[in-house]
Amino acid sequence: MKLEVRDLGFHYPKQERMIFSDVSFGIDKGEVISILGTNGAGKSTLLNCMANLYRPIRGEILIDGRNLRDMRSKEVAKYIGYVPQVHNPAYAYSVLDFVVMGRTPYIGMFQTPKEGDYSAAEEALRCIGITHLIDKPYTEISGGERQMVTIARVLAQQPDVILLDEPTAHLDYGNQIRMTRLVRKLADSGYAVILTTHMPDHVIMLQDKVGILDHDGRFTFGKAEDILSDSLLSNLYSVDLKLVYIDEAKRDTCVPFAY
Amino acid sequence: MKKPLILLVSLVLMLAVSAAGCIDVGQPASNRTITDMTGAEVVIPAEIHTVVNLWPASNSVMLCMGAGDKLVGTTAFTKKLFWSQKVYPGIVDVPVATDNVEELLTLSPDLIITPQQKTAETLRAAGLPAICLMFSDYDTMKQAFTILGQAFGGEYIEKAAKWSDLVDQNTARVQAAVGSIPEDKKPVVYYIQGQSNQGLYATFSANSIMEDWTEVSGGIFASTLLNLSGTTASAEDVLALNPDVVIIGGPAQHELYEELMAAEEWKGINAVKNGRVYTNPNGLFPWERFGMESALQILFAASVIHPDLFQVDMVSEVQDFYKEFVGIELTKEEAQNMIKGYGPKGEDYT
Amino acid sequence: MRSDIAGKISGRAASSAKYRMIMVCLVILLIGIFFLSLTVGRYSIPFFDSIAILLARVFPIEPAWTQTMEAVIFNLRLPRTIAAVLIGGGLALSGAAYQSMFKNPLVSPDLLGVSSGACIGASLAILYSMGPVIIQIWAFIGGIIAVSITVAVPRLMHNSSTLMLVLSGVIVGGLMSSIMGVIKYTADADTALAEMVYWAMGSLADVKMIDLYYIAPCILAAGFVLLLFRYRLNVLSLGEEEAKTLGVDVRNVRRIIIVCATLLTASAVCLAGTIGWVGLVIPHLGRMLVGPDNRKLLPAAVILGAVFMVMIDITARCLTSAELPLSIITGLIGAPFYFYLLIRQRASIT
Repeated sequence: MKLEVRDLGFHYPKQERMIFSDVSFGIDKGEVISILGTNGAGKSTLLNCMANLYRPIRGEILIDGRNLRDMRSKEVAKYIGYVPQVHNPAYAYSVLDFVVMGRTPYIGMFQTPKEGDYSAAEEALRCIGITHLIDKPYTEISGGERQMVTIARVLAQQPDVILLDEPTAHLDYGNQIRMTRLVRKLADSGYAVILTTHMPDHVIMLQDKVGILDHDGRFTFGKAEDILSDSLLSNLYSVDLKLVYIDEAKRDTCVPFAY
Repeated sequence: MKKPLILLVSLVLMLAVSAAGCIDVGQPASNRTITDMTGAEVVIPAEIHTVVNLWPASNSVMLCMGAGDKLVGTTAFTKKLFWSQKVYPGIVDVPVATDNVEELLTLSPDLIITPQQKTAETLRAAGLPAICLMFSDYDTMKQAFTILGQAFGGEYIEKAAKWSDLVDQNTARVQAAVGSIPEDKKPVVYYIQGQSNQGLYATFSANSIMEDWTEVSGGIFASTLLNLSGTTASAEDVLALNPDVVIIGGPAQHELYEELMAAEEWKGINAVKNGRVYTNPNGLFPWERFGMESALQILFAASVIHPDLFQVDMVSEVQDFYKEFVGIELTKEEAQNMIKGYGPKGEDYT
Repeated sequence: MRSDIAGKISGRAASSAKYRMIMVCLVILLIGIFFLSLTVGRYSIPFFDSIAILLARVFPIEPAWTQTMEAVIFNLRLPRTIAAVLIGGGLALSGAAYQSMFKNPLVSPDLLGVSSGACIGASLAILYSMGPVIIQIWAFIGGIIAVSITVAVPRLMHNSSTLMLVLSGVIVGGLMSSIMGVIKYTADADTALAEMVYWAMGSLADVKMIDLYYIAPCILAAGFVLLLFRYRLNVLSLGEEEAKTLGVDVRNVRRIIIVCATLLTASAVCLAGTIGWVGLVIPHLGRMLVGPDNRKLLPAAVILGAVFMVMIDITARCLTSAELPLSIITGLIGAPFYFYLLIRQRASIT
């Protein structure tokens, strides 16, 4: 297990209500886990715990067997990369300069990026296919492009695990599909990818594992084809949903029925 | 049945009468009106026994006239001067006064003196006998001291008049010696204000009493040449004038003197080269400013600006002055200490 | 595949070359204006004489000038100019660092209250009639104490986010203003109050070489450390959370930046009083010239700040005979200039 989560529980300081509890699962290289849930269920909070941004109240997170709590930020960053849902730029760094910041865990406290770091950044941009953006100020590109650039930054970080917070949330329909394909491609390249989403179709497209977080904080984990069902999805979203097999797509799709 | 009612009415009447007796009608035996420096007519008691004085210079005037025992409110500056303590030892017990209306109403002095018109108006509006006695050169000082003399009455009226005469006499004496010097032969005199150590370039504006005694003594006041309306001069401007005489006044004078003599940029200036840097006498108030000793300043200034043309026995002039106005005898040593800017026993302020 | 990336790399090399050129020009500008500052002033020294005076320190040249001229250049103008360079560079550097750290281009070095605290320290020293050296020391300590309070509040609230820090700065700043009001109210209107106000408005008139011996090392050390962190500042400017996921020890780096920026600003204030706008506007100008990358921006901001401050000082001491306070000039120039910069950039402000 590359990354293992055991009995994780969290509530905000000074609050009593557990956002989630007894969350346990593991992920290996090449796997994708989609965390599916409703608004406010706590998906982002769970992801933030895994990114070492929040401290869990109960349980532990282990990377390569080591407890995240015992590691320094710099070390964690060499294993785990995080792509936030939205990034509000304050300053107009060039795309290359922004991507090379992914190399920070490998750059000494008083040092600056070297040629090797710039090569890694350029390689990451090539991987995503956005080298044409390399010198543009990253404030002058579209939101979708900025998302891609942020993923490139994470790739430059050369982590083992990539966390994405609702990567399709601000994308148009076409870009959503392309993003989902990119996630699959990243996993196939050897990364362990965990993302949060509330699109059941994307989970199905990724053909891998899913974790369901409901509004009572309960976590159900397993292979998507085993876990996802009409009743589960309908209960989760409080809407009548049905999984319908589409022959042309060779997969199920989630459809609301009966207004 | 009628009895309780009569009892009640007489009870009420008794209360009313005794209450009336307790009410302070607030009208003293007799009043008079004086006009202050802003032209306001102010009603004050016939006799002034208690005074709150909010201006250091004016406090020193009262001490100089021998009226120190009237003070019930003074300033911190006044209290710390060694000469205040010598002339009126009771000054240490006089509290520092503020312009807080309620405090003053409680204190209820016969007269309040302030240099600010606004304060005087505010206090008068609250029913306090406040006068504005602002003065900034010999003419306004003569006026202000006359008003003060009138307020205190008796011998004080005489003293105020004598002081005005003394100023005129000293001016005439000095002018007799230096009055005919041509403009281009007059030395440039630079004055450093040392109420506290604010550096070598704290001076005073043109159109001030400093300009007055400098010009009367046959000098040219540096601030006049610089057209200075504020109190800080630019270092390079002052150096460019190459002053011939430097006079340093105030409690911080000795510190400033050391600073000036040590400063590289002053070493080539006339006043330093020719040994014409002087400290100014400092008694009940720095002589060069707005106290009564400014009458003596005219003599002192002439004696240092034109030592070859005007000589004076400053010690005996001081002794005469203090005998006449303050009413005390100074020893030769005490007078010399004052002239050198120290306290009566040679105490230094810094 | 590699060839199209090789072509892209040249974008970076070209901008490096452009940066080098800009920096060379800025350094030349700084050297030029440094020497200009030594040669101009209200004490007129012929231009060739001032060059000769400067060269005489290195080469043996027969003095054809007066001792006063030499002293004016080395004792009056040189300390001020060096101070202006240190202060301008230091304030610009702190401003740029805070603007990155707080992810907000509208932030100034006084965000956490160091200037207000320093003002209180100095004013207390003035109130108790302390000399100039004590005033400086208390100003410095006052600034440090104010920031310590600001930094302690988030810890008490168990919320160490940047927003909490900013709010704390607002609260502490407000508190400092009230305390300042009380101090001003208690002060003697004629002496202490005027001194406080004058001190706060900013002036390099009283800077001597000896002051620089103490303060320059502090500024240089703190500035050097800030420059060491230039890349971490880039990463911090992405936001606290993202910086943490990129492996930056946000808490400790922030602490160091705050300590250094506070030392820089407190040193500047204790030398010259409060000077606004430099820390806010110069980083903006720097960004317009070389971009937001702190590796390029911080050195550029230092030089730009130094140049700006020397120009301000020249203006302050040459324009009129009464020296204009620095913060007034920086305000009169800074505010419209800032407005101009914002207009130029209006496209990129959402």
